[in-house]
Amino acid sequence: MSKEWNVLLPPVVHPSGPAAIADFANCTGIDEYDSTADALDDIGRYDAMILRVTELDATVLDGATRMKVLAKHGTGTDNIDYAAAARQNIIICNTPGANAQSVGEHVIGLLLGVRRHIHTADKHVRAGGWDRATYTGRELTGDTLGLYGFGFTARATATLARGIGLSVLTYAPRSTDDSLPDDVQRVDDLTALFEKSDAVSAHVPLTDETHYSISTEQLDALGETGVLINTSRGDVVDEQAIISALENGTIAGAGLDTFSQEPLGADHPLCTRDDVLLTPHLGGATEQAMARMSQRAAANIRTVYEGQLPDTTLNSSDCTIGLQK
Amino acid sequence: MSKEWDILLPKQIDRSGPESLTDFAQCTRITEYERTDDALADIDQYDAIIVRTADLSAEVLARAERLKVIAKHGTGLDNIDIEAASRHGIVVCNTPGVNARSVAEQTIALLFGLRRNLHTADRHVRNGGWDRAAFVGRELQGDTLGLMGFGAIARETAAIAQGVGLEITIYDPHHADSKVPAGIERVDSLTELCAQSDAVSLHAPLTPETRHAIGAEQLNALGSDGVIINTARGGIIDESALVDALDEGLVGGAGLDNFEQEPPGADNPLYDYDRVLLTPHLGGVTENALERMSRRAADNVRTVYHGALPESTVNREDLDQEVLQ
Repeated sequence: MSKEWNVLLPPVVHPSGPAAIADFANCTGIDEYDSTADALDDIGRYDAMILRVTELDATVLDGATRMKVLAKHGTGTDNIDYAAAARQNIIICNTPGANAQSVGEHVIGLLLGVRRHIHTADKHVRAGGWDRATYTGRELTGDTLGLYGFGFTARATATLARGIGLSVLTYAPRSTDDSLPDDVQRVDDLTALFEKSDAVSAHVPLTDETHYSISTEQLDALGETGVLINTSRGDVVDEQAIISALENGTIAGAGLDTFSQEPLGADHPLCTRDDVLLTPHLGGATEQAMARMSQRAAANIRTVYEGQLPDTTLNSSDCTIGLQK
Repeated sequence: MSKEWDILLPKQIDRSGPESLTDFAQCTRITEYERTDDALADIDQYDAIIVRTADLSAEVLARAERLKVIAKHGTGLDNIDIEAASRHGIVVCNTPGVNARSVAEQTIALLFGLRRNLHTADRHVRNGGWDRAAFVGRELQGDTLGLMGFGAIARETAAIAQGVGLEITIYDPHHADSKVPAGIERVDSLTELCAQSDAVSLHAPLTPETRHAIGAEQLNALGSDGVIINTARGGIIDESALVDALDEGLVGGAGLDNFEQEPPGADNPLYDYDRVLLTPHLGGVTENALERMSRRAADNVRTVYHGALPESTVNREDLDQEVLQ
């Protein structure tokens, strides 16, 4: 007997999510088609889709006549045309927070890595060196970590930071006082956050307001023993200002997981600096986060299958009749 | 007016310790002499010496007529002839425990570094790469960290590890049950520790009993997802067994700050593996630990100046007490 729903999967997805809806769903991977375009040409036969980065524009969605739910694997949905989805009464939902623990741990890993020079020390040992004094580090205990923003990933970072002996400050104009843990102190100004912190980590989305919001003034305030960590979005930081601050010794170092242009490219001036630790947008890239995103996206599909709106529905005002489809 | 005591200082020392002694002492750096031997030839001019690596042999100490205290900056006393010092009534003391927090943080830094591939991801980005799927990491939260030994450094490591969400299991045959904090499991063999843990960190001295204690059997028990961390002493791990285990994929990785031979040489087989993170014995090398060593060594000098014995005196029983008067 054929299953009741056809579900389209992204090329890479942790198997635990699809396995959890196998009782009602017949799942097909995009990679089972010759190309992504071929899969999208066939979108008319699917009731649901778990989606990562595939572009769903109006042309594609106009053909998605059976589609009831687009379950984003992750948070950002800028690859979906909301108006076209609304015309088909398709519910759009996501999995916010599923990678928060992974991002928080990456922040602490980068901070420890920069403070203890682990990447350059590793390179030095492999090259036959043993100049220990060059790699003198700095303890985290007793330092203050400033968090710019206080959403899911900042919250996870704060818990880890306090666990390792750091004090935590935040500049988060949109968070209410009673949403902050008792031992996280608030400051009212971004530059003041940098002034009062030994390290600052960015946890804000990229918006007009946050674009280049970390620049020369903030880095000057962070100071010559300060470290900047960015796992949010590259353009939250004025990259040229970081390079200047590092060159001038205005700050001590940086741990960067996101960049203005990704891939960064070998010719980028950051690539020759020992005082930066660079990773290719790996904050949320762990086995555990991949499993959680897969499971939550699948659970959202089940919710819609059972006639409900997922808690993380992003277009509920557009979907008043979506459930009757 | 000249100060009452003359103190000889090592080449490198945080200034906070010497500065705290200026009320009664004038300090001379060993580097103010042309050579270390010239400084040691002048040893009879000094009432105290803060020493790091200079060789204080019986011959040197025989001429140290005014010397009352040898304050070791650090723990190891291999460079001091303690018997000769005792014969001349010279107090020998050191600064144990001051680097415990630094070593513990290095342990956690190596663990994060391995789990998130920080050193190899950094290398990849600098070479122009952006293959994110190749560096998918693993969260620490919920994993079990096994500690071999439960002395001061292991206890600091346990506190940090619990703070970042790890479970702790220990193996320490020399540790009383009553001293193990609640929430920490205990096992009766090293192989059992490896079998029950996702990561194992070594915190034991190198003794005939611990030499090559981590061999093929323990690495097999740790398993293909497990990692071993060594910030204690090289030689506890059988390095050739580790290379074999890495080669066969029997162990997931290793974070090594210590080696059987230090420096580990220009062409050590460990360098062939990306799943190892190597640092040049940096566990205790932080500004914070160096400052504490400087202050404690200076405090020890002051204690002797006041006619008392420092708590960390190592030749208490052998001293001719009159000399202190």
